[in-house]
Amino acid sequence: MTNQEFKIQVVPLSKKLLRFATYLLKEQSDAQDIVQEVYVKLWSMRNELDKYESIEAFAMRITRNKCTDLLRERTRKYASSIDEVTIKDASEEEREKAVDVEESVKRVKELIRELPDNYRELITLKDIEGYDFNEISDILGVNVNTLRVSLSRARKKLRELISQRCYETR
Amino acid sequence: MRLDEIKYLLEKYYEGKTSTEEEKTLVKFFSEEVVPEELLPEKDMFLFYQDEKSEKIAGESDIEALVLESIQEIEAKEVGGKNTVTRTIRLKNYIQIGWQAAAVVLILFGGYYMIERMSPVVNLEDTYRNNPELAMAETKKVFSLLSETLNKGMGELEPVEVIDVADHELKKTKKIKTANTELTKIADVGRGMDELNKILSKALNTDDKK
Amino acid sequence: MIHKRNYSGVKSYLFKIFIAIGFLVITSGAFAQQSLADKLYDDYSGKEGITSVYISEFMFRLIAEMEPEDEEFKGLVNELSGIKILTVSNSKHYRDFKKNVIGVISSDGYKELMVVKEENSIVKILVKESKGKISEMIILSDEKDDASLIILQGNIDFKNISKLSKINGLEQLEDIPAEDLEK
Repeated sequence: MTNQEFKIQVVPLSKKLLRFATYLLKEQSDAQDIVQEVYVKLWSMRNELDKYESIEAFAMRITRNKCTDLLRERTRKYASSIDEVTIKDASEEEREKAVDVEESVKRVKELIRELPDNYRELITLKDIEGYDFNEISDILGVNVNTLRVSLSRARKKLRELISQRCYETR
Repeated sequence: MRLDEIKYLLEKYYEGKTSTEEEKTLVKFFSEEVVPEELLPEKDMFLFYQDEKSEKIAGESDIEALVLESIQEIEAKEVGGKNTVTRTIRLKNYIQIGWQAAAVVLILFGGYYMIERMSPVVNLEDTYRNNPELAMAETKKVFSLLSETLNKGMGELEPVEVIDVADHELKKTKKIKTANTELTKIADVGRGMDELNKILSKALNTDDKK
Repeated sequence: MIHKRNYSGVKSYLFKIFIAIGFLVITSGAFAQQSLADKLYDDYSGKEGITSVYISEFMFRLIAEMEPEDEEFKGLVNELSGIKILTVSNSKHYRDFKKNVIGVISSDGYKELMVVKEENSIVKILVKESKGKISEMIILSDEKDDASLIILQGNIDFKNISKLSKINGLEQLEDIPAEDLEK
């Protein structure tokens, strides 16, 4: 594709890539760097991009790969220890003031980080970001049926966590 | 009733088999209805998803601009210069195009010769191109001959010995009565045709006559 | 799995060109072979002692408009793509012309429709049928030493021909009231 087309079609994907990277990395500064790296790579490949049925899925895949690479480089803390991740934004504070956001919901946000990485990833892609199975299959390189099974387990696990942590004590 | 529905959907949900519509139903339920205690974890879960969906990620608003910037930097460097990668790609493309063009030319020539050989060198010009009236007359003359012959053939007229009439739909059409009047009329056709012929041959010999 | 479109480049391009040419060729009728009668016409037109006449589809369109009231005439003319006429009169070509004509009409594809023999003349009508319609009709007329070969080409409906047998040509003679001919 031409330079112009790239700027029009591919650059807008950056938001989604950033969200994804942020979820995977839990740190927003790195996420921005990763996304920029991804774009450098995409730009260098712009002549071949038309081959892909979903450029978005392809870009997400690259993003994911780069994130996993980065995660491997870092010293991994055990997932259940709650990282002091601050996905902060002014509007979040606003929303926290809003009436409907219950504490328990916020707690889920913390709990989800306790999930194994792949479960968290799946729930992020499917339930939060709303990708469908085919797209997720493209991004992760896993077949749809396996995904369904994993997602099923992920959801169950999350529910278990919530019920244990938030409600069992009652 | 609704609760049963919800529980049914939830079962599906935990199997990963719900459709987007069904999931929307679940979300709606958990955000609007009063939720029984046993389903409170689900409520937290679904509300959490909704929350996250709309959540703004830090840097979201700037990322597009940042990305665009870095790309434009690269672009500027490329245009200036010795970007050998682009060079090689371009060259490869030209070579490819070259071959494709050559192939197309070959096929076109081949096709042309094929076609040339197949159809005759058609040099057919309308004989009466300057004189459509003559063409009309000639055509009518042909039709007359045809009809006269057909009449004779089908009518089994006396002075004519009909050799053969092929077994065809023609036979199915009504036969012309061989009344005397018909004979005369048809004979008239013959005569009329002669007249026509004379007129025509005259006309053909003198170009400007209509 | 990311679905890659297979960029076979040159191959798919060539293929497309092939199809395009093939399509053009077929639709242009270039593959339409000459019929034997056509060949005959080509061979003999322009030869000494032979008169040739060709009326094309275009001309037919013109003359059909010249007499818009005549439905039968129009109907028949609209189905014609060409008329070729060869008249040979007692020239050096006469004999082998006749021979060739006989060769053509006795070949496969031409079905004899009717033969009318009269004292001095014989007229033969042959047709070449395809899919229920007449693609070629040959009228052979032989009188003493005058032979003419008329080739009508097109997509002619039999019904139109049979209509001819009732009325056509006779209309030229005004004194014959049309009703008398109706059967």
